[in-house]
Amino acid sequence: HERLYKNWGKFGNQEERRMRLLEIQKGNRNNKIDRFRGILDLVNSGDDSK
Amino acid sequence: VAVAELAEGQWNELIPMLVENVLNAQSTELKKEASLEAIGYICQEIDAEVLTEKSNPILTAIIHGMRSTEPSSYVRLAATQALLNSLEFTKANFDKENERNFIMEVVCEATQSSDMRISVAALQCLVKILTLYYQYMEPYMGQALFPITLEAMKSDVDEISLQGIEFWSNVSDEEIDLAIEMAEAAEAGRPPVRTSRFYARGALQYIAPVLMQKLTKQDDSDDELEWNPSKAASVCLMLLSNCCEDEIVPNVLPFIRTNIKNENWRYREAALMAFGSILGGLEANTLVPLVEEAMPTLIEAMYDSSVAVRDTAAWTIGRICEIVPEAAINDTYIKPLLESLVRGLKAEPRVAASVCWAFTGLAEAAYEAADSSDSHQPKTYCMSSYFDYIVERLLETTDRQDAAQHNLRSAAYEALMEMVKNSPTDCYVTVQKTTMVILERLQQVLQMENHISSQVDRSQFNDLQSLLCATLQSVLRKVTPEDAPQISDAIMTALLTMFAGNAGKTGGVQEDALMAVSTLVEVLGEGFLKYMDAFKQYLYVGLKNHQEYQVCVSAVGVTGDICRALKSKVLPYCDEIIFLLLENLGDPSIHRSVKPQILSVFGDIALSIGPDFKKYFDVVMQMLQQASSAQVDRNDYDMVEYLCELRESVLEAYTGIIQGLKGASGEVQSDVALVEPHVGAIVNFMIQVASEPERTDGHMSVIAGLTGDLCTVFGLRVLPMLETRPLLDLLQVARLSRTPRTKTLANWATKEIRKLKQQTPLAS
Repeated sequence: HERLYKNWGKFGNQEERRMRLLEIQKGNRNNKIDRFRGILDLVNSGDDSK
Repeated sequence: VAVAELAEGQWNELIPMLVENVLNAQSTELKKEASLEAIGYICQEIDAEVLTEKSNPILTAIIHGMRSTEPSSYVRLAATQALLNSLEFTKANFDKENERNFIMEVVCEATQSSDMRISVAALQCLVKILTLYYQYMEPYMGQALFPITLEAMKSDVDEISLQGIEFWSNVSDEEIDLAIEMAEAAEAGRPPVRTSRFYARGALQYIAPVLMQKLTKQDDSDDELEWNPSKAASVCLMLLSNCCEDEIVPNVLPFIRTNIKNENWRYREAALMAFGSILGGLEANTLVPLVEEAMPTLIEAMYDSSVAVRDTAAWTIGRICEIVPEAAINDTYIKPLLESLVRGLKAEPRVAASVCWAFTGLAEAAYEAADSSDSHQPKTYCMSSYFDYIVERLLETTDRQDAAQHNLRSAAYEALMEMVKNSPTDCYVTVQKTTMVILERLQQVLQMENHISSQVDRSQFNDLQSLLCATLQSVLRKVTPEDAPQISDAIMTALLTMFAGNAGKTGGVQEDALMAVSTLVEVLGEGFLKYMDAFKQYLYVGLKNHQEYQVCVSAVGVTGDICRALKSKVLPYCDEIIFLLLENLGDPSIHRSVKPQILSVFGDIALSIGPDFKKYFDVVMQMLQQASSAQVDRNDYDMVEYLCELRESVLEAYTGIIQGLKGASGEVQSDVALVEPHVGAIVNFMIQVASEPERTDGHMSVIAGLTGDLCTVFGLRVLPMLETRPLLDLLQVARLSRTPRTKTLANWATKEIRKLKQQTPLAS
């Protein structure tokens, strides 16, 4: 439980950066695919009634 | 040797021999002790399944050695430590009531040993037994476990006290998990598999006072990094709060109120620590008034004469920013709060580091509280008028002579990154200025390369380069598309110098530099092309770095970014890239986490180069089919997670290939006919993934998208294959997904299927 004490567990910043970047890359990939599909606006608006 | 041999079914006489050594009355004390130690080490290292069948004789020997009648404390200690290591594979014995009773009796008895080492080892056993066999603990809790652990907590011997506290931390952990399981079961309309016995709630009134007493026993030596009962007590209170929620308040609040202004710093710090620790579990109705009432005292505590009090005050403010930011971010408190924090940046490293973490939480909370209704980024926020000043102070903090202590430098850079990331439009001038400062620092640091002699300096030098690269990523994401090309030459020159230098050979630095390149590629788009000839050699080095797999993953990620950004202009580099990616996939020694990333990048390449992907088509499809048939041990959670990731990537790659060959324009290009012979295998794989119990929301999303793609590209020809129960069921579930994209894709795919069904076969 030591990493729960104060800010002791907050030093794995590189790991956080990795995760954040992977998420961004995944998001960019999805956007590109949805643009190819011609449904990017639909996905971004979250409106599926169109 | 035993770990290697036993796993292969060899050396079967070993365990009986060791057991015999312990049970034989003629054995010497040394022989018994050594045999138990050997059993302990084997149990510690070996896979639990290997010894499950041998658990009976092993346990017999261990319990024999642990009995209170055993005259040798060495033998008893070795036996107790061996038990600790064997608990995972003695489930069958714990399942039987009489055997369980006997084990518990012997362990509880050992906790009372006058030999502290035996007592500590036995308490460690109880901690582990509680976690492994929670559902069996009811008959022992009131009679034995509660009094034993309560007394242990109170002990003046730190090692014993730590185990007593750890026991209740584990109870809380376990009961938090059980509460989550209960909620999930209720949501799914089924009974939970396991239920909580609410031991923590029952014991709260007895253990909270002991924990608060322990909080006042802070370590006042220079070594603040040593784990002790005071620190363990604060974590235990935090977990108890998460577990018992508002019920903790009456047990802790009187202590806080009585001691927060105590003339003894230990009591002031303990009161603050208790307050900060319990915030996480409270309901908003209880939490908000409590924090609002405490804010003036907390700000005052930032000026306390005691360094420990100031440190804990800064940490508590950070917790408030994370948990209940509205209490800190309001007109009444924001100004005095920021003043106290900025002042704290100049304090001792431990205080300054806590202040940096408080700024990290504050930046995010302030940004979220800002009004961003008109655009994706708010125009201003409550820290705008202080922003430039805070950023300057943080930059100064990163440069402090003592910034290596308490990870202050890293915490200050992290705060800086969060401040920049969460900055509104009216702070952009400061972001521009900060970008230039970071760039200058990077250039200065690179010039120091040849002056480093010691290992310590080298390590700090590498860390600094990593942090500067990370900060660059942060500022680059805020830079406008107009400004990016003006600074990109200088940034890329610095990054290329870094790759070429010694530090660039270090995994951590190389990885952060590659991540900075990723961001630059994203910001510049096609404008990155001018750097490709200079950069490609380092990209290839990264892709070939099989040893440091995180570097390889980053290089694969950059490859995907480059494909998306450069589109067809990436073509001249594709032969080499595809060759290296295939080489990686074929290397059995490469870390498994690289492989899914590579498969997804095949999709990125196909999307970028469209018809030119044809020459890679056969070999890539072969790889995807191989990956589709991968199987793992379903009992190994990590491997199941890997399999899920691998499957999602295979499906992403199919999506990219179909879309790439189909073309971006509305008209379907004829190249996509290459895929048609594989459609049966692709749909079979979709059905297989859709039918698996491990199916994730990511799988549903990519399968829904791929279903829609197959409809739009191949029309009625694929409809009979797609109209199968698993896929239709998946679409139905995905339409109710909480993830908006999954839901939209499922609705889109359903409509594409419906459109096809409305067509007549002739029309197709």
